[in-house]
Amino acid sequence: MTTQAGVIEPARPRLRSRSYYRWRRSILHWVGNVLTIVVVLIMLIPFIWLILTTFKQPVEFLTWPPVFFPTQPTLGNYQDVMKIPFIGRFFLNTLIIASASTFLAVTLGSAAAYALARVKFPFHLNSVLAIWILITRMYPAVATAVPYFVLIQRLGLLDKHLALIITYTSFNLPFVVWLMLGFFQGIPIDMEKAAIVDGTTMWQRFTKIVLPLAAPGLIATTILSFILGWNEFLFAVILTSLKAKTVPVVIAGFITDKGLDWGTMSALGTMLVVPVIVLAWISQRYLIRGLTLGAVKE
Amino acid sequence: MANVKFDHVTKRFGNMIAVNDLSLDIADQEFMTLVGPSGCGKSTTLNLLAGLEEPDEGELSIGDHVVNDVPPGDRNIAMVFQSYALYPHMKVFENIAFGLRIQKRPDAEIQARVKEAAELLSITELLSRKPAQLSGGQRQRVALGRAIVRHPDVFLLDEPLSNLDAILRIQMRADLRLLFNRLGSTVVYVTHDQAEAMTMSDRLAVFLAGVIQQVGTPLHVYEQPENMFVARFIGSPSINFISGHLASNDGGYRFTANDEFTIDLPAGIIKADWPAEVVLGIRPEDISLSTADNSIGVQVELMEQLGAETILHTTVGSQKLVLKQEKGTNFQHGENVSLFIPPMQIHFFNPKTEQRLM
Repeated sequence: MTTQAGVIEPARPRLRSRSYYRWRRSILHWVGNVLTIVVVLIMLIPFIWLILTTFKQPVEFLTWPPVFFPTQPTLGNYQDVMKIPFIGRFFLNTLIIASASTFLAVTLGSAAAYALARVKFPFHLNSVLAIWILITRMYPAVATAVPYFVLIQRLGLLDKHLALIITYTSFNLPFVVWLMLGFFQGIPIDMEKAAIVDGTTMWQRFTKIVLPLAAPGLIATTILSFILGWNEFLFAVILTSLKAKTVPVVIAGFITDKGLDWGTMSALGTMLVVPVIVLAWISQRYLIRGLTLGAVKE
Repeated sequence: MANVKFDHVTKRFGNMIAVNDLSLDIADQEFMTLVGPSGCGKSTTLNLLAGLEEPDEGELSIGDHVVNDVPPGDRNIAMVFQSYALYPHMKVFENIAFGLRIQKRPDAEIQARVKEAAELLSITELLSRKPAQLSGGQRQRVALGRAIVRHPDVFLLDEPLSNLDAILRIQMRADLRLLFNRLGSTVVYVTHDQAEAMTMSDRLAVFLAGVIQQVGTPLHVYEQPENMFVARFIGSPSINFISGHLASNDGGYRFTANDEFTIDLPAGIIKADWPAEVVLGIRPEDISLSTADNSIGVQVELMEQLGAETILHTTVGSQKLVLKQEKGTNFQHGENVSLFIPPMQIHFFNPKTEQRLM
């Protein structure tokens, strides 16, 4: 708006009363709180439902109107889980496969990421390789299920731990490489130059300087890799039948043509989830630091 | 301790020539400063010496050994980085001891040498802290300690004071010089700050675009700059340049500036084979206030009171002239002042080659 030809009036912000700003701030504050609670409930309700179901009598599973809290709490469902043949073995399988594949993926993946972060390969290979690694995650894994089954069968690995360890390692590698790449690139290059002048080999720099500094990232990737190996269902059901069978496959086994055994299913589901929650709880300090540190450069 | 020799060293990054045919001899126990604007090749030169970069051409020697193919750890050099590059997960003691540990020195020796270095830098009480718990100045000292503890032949310092605040920087300037005097070591020091280069060095090398423009003692470079870049880069406030032409006049010469004031010059300063078009250079402290009739009338545009001295920014036509005066000088904005430019203090440059005319 011009008051005079060519003179533009400066835009001045219109100040309101102090109580207006206080009121506005507290409203925003409460809207934020309510939204947070709603989102947390949406995430938690299925999980709470699962846990409560484990304590219900069979009649309460599908009654109408639904019963949220068990009226006659029971541990019967857990006792049923204990009666599943080889259940201890299945848990052990899950633990072995998840741990081994996590160890392999994190070790190989972080070494590869360090090389991509610090070695300059010719022909722009750094970015080509980084993208190429990601390609394995760009199509649905199920698309390869049948040929993959044949491959594993020819290798004589059906129903062996190694089959799932290889599979999960290859699933986790791209994810580990990309996450760790961000971490390694975030470590100041001068620090490594100083270590070079101090006479270190590349391996010494990796183990003594880089890995300790990337510890939050390593912990985050380790937990996330472990969760994938611990929960994975599709390839577990395709590649195992008994000896290497994992718990998610056992859970799915309760869906039969004779009906669903809700109680045992939810009890076993709860037992599968609890270790992961405990693990994440113990390491949440690192997990949170890990998930934010790599992303933001300081 | 050792001397350092660059023999026609060239380093390219793709098509960019970072260091171009560099030859430089650094004597044993000399404090040599590489100074220049950012991107001039001074840090690359230091990295070449450290072994962090490999030269494309030429030879590089430390002591009597050509070190082109020697890995950094075997060159017996130590480097201090602008960012200090301390290892954040290690305590100060371990930071300083790291190089010795890599060399697998016995533990007793490591203890003794870290203690010695810490005492020299007065950081003994910091040894059990982590870098995050230290101030900038303390981190700086730890970074120095990490270098000193290795008893290197050559210290390489890459802008070590740039991250400190102004007061600490000036104090550390003197501290560093005293420290290296005491250690009696060869030092190659990189900075973009001409004041650091002037105050600390035995000799300095002025870099521009990968080429050394001039090497010499600070005073020599200041008083006899070989080209306009060196003249402009060394000294603060910067030298004044006045474009104009020379003509003979009354047995002597007369310089007529493009802005039409003149300066009469006695015979003997100007050589006959000089071009008529020249650039006249005069340092701010060499210009004096005057009332004589050969003076130049200028107008005061800005006055900077620095306490110990006063910087006057003046104009004549489109020409700006900056001069340094003693404290207490006081003029109003727009006031007319007369200046005298003493002929003996003038440097002449060829405007085409920018080289000094001698």
